[in-house]
Amino acid sequence: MSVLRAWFYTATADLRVRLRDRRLLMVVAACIYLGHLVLAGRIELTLVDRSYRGAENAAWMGTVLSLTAAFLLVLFGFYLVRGALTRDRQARTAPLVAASPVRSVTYLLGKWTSGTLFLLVLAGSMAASLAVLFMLQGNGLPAPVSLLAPFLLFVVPTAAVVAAVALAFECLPGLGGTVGGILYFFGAVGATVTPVLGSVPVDLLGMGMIHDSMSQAVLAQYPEADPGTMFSFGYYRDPAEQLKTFQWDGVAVTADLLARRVGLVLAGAALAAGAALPFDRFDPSPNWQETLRAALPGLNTSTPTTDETSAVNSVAAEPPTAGPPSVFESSPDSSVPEESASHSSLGSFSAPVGLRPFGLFAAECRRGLRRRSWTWRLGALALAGAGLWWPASTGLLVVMWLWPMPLWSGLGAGEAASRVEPLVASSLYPWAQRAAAWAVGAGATLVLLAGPLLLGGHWRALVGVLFVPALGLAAGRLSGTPRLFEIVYLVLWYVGLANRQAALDFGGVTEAPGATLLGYSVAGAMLLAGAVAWDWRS
Amino acid sequence: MELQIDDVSKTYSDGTEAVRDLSLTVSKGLIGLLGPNGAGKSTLMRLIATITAPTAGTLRWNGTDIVNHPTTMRRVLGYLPQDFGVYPELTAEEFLDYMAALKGVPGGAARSRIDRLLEIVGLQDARDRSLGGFSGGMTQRVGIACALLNDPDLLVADEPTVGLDPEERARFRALLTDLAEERVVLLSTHIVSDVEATATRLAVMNDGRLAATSSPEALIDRVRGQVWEWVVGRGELGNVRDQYPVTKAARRPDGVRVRSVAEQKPAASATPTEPALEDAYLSLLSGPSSPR
Repeated sequence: MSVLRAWFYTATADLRVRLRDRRLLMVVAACIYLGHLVLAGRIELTLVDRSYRGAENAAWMGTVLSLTAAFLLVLFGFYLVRGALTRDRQARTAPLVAASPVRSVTYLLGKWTSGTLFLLVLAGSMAASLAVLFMLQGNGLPAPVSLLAPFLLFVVPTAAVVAAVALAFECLPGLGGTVGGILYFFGAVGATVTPVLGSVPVDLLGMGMIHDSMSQAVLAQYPEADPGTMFSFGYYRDPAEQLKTFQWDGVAVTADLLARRVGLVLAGAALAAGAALPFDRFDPSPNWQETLRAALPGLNTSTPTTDETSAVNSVAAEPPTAGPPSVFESSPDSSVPEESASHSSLGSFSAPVGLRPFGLFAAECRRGLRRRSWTWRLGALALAGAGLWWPASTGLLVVMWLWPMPLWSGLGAGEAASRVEPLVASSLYPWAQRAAAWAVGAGATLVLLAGPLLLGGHWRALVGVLFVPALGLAAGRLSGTPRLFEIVYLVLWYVGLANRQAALDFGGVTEAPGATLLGYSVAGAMLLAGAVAWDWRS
Repeated sequence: MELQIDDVSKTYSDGTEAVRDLSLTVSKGLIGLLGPNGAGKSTLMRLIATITAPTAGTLRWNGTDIVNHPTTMRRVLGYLPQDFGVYPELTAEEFLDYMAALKGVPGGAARSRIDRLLEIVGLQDARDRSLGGFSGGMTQRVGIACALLNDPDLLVADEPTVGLDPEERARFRALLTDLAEERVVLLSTHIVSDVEATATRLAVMNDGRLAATSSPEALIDRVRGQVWEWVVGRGELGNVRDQYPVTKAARRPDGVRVRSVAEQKPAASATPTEPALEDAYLSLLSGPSSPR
């Protein structure tokens, strides 16, 4: 019973925190808009090279909506729910949790439940908006079961798995930050595409099942249809014309289908529980043996041992004091009256106050590099060297535009994470700190891309040197976390650079048109000016 | 050197009125800002430090409106927030150098200043250690050094003794007293002993408002002749607390010796005693010093 209570209260407390974040309103507004796009036919599911679509019944609408929601949850949900443990660290509730008798597994399952429910709230807002708009158009009340069934079958398992993966990544060393975000993105793209291309053991979104069911319906009603290129799903500015409609009443709910989908939910729960193995339980100096011992059933007692508690609460020993007398040092004459502890030797100085741009830049450089691991720095060096060796390679350039992501994502979010904001904001040149941070991001990018820029003729990449660090700085300042930048940048990188779409290419990979270069330059300048000048006093 | 606060209010977006119509003029010396938790002290500190802007009212430093011209204040400000962090990947020296650059302290002056400040706060041996391994008390000392980097004319310290051990606290109070000879030092705390011996003036906040402003002596004089001590049975302590603001209660073999503030003699065995600042402060917060 106490385990259930701990799980329940962990989940509800975490969910409350998530739902009371005012930034959620923006996400919900976007979800409601997506519901509108589904109803308006702009998010379109068609078959056989955009020739067939299902008749507009509740099953069809519900499935299109559920696929849209599941697709978006897979791509972006991870970034929205990630950070449950980081939030506890930053809110400084972590030591309280660590010293409490709650088992790591229970705590993580509570966090996973909260993350899953949060994603379902977002998907639910899409469904609700679709249902309301459906009625406002005079179509009457949509059949609730037909609308709800695909939601339960496809969205709920997806949310459960995405929330579990986000939690597991946070617990695994090295995957809690931007590197994890990048790896996940590739995995998510693979998970959404491969089930349609062929049979795979795990169909996360259920796309393969839906594809098969719809294909059978089309072929039954239009035997001449070419089954080779069946599925087309995405956003289209102009709805397809002259579509043939076919009757489809939804995926047949079989025991096999139910088992697969429930299995995914259980897999999500198992993954979240399994994350207790690498979970450091907020130990500032994690020890793998201790972590495993604490997580494995049977070896862990419900009450932290003395050793565990001391590890959790461990603080660095005060250094021995030596040298000149200090206001704070323990001295044999501590009975000296307070008046004698004068600071007069501190003195005052009348040096003129002035901006030290190079000092700030150097300090920001130091900070930016210190935060990166040796492997990251070595990778950056290797990439920069490869750029000088093969300056014309566009494939290398695409990779180069991914490597500094951890650096860019921390440009505007570091102050919030380290709680240095009050010190910076009350200083004389808070704007200069932001400008220096951008300069470090741009400088590092320039160094990395020196080969392609100077020797490979990829001069268009200069636009990205201005734009990307500005985006990182602005997104970090706006959201206080690296996640907003990671979401936006990964999409831009994937579409513009990895898929060589010139209209969105900021990195010199293609022959991007002048309008694209101008657009990114203006956007970069505006983001930079806004991020540097914006005084966040309220 | 004068900080003038006129009719300042601060209401947060959730409707919380943290500061209400507060007016206060502060000049050279150490001013203790006392008040219970949630009284609005930290919000007032943030307003003075130009981190947040008031909903109404004006704040002036030497006649210049610091809401519209925050740089005027930031140029001469040393601010030690109640809740702050440091960059864990930097060393103490690197962090202070970084903050010196943000405060506009020239490189050469910054280096010698940092050397001296690290000595003052007893961190000279830890100067090359990463801040990520610092204890709470050590981090607090880095914050104190940071606040003094630019030789501020106005030092705003919000609960500065949190995390310091008793000896460190005493020495920090001495440092503040010394600093206050040439500048304005505003020390916010809810620990009366932090300001009892050092403040030249006290401002007491309660529920966002200024409840009193006076010298410590004048505040103590307000309860002179109203502070009593007597022994009660252990079972009676609750009743006494219900009737009078109890400033001290010490167990003794024959019961509990209580100290309280009351206009009238609260018990036949009560004897008048010399008032302390804590008596005056608690009496002020708990309302009229007559039986409740």
